[in-house]
Amino acid sequence: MNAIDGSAIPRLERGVRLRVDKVNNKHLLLRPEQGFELRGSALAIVRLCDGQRSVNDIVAELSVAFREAPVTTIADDVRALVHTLVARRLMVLAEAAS
Amino acid sequence: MTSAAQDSLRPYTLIAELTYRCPLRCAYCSNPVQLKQLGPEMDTEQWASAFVQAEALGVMQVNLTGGEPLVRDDLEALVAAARARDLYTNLITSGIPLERERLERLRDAGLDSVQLSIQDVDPDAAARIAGQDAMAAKTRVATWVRELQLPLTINVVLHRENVSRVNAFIALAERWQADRLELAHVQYLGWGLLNREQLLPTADMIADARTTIANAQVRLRSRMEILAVLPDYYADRPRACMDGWARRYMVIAPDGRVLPCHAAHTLPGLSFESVAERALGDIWHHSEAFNRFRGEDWMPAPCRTCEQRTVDFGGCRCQAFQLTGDAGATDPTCSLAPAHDLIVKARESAISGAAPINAGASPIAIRNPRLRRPPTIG
Repeated sequence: MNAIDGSAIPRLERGVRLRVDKVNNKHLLLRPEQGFELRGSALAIVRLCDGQRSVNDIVAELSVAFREAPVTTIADDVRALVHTLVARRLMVLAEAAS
Repeated sequence: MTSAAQDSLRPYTLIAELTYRCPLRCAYCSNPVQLKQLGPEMDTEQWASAFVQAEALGVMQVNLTGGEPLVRDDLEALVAAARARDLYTNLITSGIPLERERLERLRDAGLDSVQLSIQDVDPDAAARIAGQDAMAAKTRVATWVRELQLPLTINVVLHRENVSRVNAFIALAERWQADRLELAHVQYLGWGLLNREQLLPTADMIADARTTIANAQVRLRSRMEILAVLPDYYADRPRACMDGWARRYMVIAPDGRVLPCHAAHTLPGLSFESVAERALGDIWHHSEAFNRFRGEDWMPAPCRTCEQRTVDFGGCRCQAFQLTGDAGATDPTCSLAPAHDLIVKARESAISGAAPINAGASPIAIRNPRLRRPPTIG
């Protein structure tokens, strides 16, 4: 579906910060003079993108937390979101240490 | 109030003009032309209180700007106060005067990002527009920003003399590994309007810049974001000034006066209250000035029935006033505006006059940062 490798380790780009909008309880990724709303599963995914966990780790962890969802669906969601956020320069990937 | 109504009347960004003092004196400065009419600057506690009140209203980002915010000795404390409210804290600076140790202290206080302004890549042209060429100092600052792992935005104000050097600005931002490059054209208000004859480019210059920028945006897509704001004088529709009057932004001037935009103090018949004297939420929701051009009730024809009214909000009130004398008029940059002829004439004179800054018949009006005097023209 896209080129995000399971061993890639995503983290927020420097200067990007997750914050709650108190007025409407939405979660936003903030960067200079811009904000991007995280909807649905995006928040749970982004919270795990800490520069330590790989994409595979994140999928495994979410599969435990959301047992009713098929693993393939979770994996697709994680890869799609990471891909989108990297393309928008809100996230960067580190390669897994070999 | 329903949450939708609350949401529609909430500010996202506070523009904190900490001071009007500045070592530069750019010919397009957005500060007031009449600098001497101002009260004293607010102190640290007053600004900290303003940040608390702004955050309670829904503000999520604060731009620390000026003048030059670095001339405030308490900038570190102000950054810390903003971060204490979890505000995304942008420093908008010329980089002068700054030492690496101070930038490190600002970062440690919680600064989120640095926006560094560049006047020109040509030293002589930079000196003409800003009173000095500070490229060496700015290069050092950019290096420190990278070393300290802060995100770097390069801000460039474009005008007739430097718009042909857009490529060089892009190359510079690449060299400095900037995260963002903001190429924003001069706004012809206040100082910019006084100097319009020497600052307004021709349509050809704008078309060239547009092409160069579009190509660079594609080429650099994965590395650097390039934001471009070309002059509304060459657009068919006005810019959505401040995303609408008193809708998403609030400006607090150095003396504490709260404004819907940088230039709103130029509008007649409006009085702007100080956050030192009235609660910020009261000013935002209930002051006459903030409600004057909110929504659509104030709109004249053709805005009132125009389908673009929810996109451009009728354009810029200050531009309408400064060009037509009527703050409630349709922004003349709109091709449907009754006063659009003023813009057409300005474009025509841009084509006929090609003189570089300071060499034309009317010398450029500049602010004098030390004497804080209104400009002398001619």
